[in-house]
Amino acid sequence: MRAISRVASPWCRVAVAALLICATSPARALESQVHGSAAQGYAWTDHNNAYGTSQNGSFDFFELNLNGSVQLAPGLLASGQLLMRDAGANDNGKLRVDYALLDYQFASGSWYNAGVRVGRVKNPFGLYNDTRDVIFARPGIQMPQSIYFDGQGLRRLLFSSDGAQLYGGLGLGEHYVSVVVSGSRRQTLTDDEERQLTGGVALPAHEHVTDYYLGRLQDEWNGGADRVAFSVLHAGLDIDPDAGSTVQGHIDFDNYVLSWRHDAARYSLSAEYIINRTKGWTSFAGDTDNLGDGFYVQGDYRLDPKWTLMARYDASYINRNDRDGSRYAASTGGDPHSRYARDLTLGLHWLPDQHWGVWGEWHHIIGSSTVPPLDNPTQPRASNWNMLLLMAGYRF
Amino acid sequence: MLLSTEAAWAQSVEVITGPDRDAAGISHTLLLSLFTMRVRQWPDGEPAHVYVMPDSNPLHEQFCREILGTYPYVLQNAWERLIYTGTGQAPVVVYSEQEMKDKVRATDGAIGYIRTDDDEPASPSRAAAVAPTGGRS
Repeated sequence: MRAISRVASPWCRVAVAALLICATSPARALESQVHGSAAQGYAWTDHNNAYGTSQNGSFDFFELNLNGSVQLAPGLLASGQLLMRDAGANDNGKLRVDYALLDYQFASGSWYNAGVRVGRVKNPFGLYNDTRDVIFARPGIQMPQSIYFDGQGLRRLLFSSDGAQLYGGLGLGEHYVSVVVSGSRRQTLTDDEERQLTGGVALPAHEHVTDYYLGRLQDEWNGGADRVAFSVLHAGLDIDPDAGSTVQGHIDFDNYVLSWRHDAARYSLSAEYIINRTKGWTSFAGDTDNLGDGFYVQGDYRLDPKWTLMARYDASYINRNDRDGSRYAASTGGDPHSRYARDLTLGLHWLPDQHWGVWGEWHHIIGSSTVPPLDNPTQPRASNWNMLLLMAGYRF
Repeated sequence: MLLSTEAAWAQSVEVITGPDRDAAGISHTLLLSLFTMRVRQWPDGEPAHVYVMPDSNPLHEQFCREILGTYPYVLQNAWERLIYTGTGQAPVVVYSEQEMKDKVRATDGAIGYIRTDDDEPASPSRAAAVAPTGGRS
């Protein structure tokens, strides 16, 4: 406990206390549950680093979570999750509070429900963002980078929000239509987050995420086997100068994602398309107005209940009006391949029982826009590279 | 407290509920809401206690396909989204039909399912009340 109280903020202590209540309360009295998972990964790349120094093979890749929830009253749920994740230079393996919230479902009928969540809440964005750090609940070892930004930029803004979330759903015949909207208080970026956002550059400034909201509208039918969704995320970033510096500015990020998933007895198909706009002004780059986009298509085929084959094509473009990066190269002298990434992935997934899982993926990538800058601080980045990812996990 | 659907299988699946309510009035929409765990209480405000068999159990698979109109792994994925976002809880897993009967029938607000012989069909009106329009077989 001493170690935990040292690393963490009040959030962490609240979550630990909630977990202890869940773990010790009589199950009947309070309907409490504790779940968790742990997974260790391995990464190897022939060029560029990911998840640590992967060109030599890297085990600098693990995730661990423990969550608890307790039903305090018929409509009132308290829950919290502690998370540790290590991913090369992009995640540091420190204990953090992933979420800690009170969920009050104030309306609940045979064909509708609505409620509010307060605290640190997970951000619903696309199909998988809110469960992105749990291998058992995401679509592969690596998330599709076009939508979910693992090594760069917006990742920090995607995790969770300290604020409030409203949700509701309507059963309309065979369809269940739901909406979730989150708003967040002002947040200050850490130095690591700043460098992720700038691609590895430390600015003599501090950044605050100001106006921040996201929402997702989803329709599901066939008992959830078919889903379509539309997600929106907006974040405003204030850049304020450090003492003696003149670096400043304001940038607005707007992201829109269309999502689709179809589950059948033997196979699943999913696809998502993102369009993102970065608009603002900074003292070091002047006016900025950029439109990027990306998409992926994934198929999963269940050979039997334990073995699943996966194939995915994932494409990201920093500027949708300059997809091959040629205009960028002509105007800046930079590498054109730093402006896109096209990733063809083949994977195999084995669930020997309800607790264990083993995953393997081979990525062949053309382009370097998704190469994590923090794992590649100095070296030139290769445009044609391969990545092997392995992961084994346990859940309860 | 007993409700079944017509099935091509040798045996049917029946939804059962705790002693405080009747399965006959439960719409398919409410059944889906309860078993996907997105609502945590009955419309009358009583807490809901959902019981299921393990994913790999044939009765669970039959229940998912015929009554809910979905697949066990889709339901499992939905529960995991709730668990790992803190927005809901997983149902209680029981490992035998006897345990299912004992627990559901002893618990107010409980809902679960059991197997029934085809020579004891439930009334058609009750069957229509829960049968999904798009059941999978």
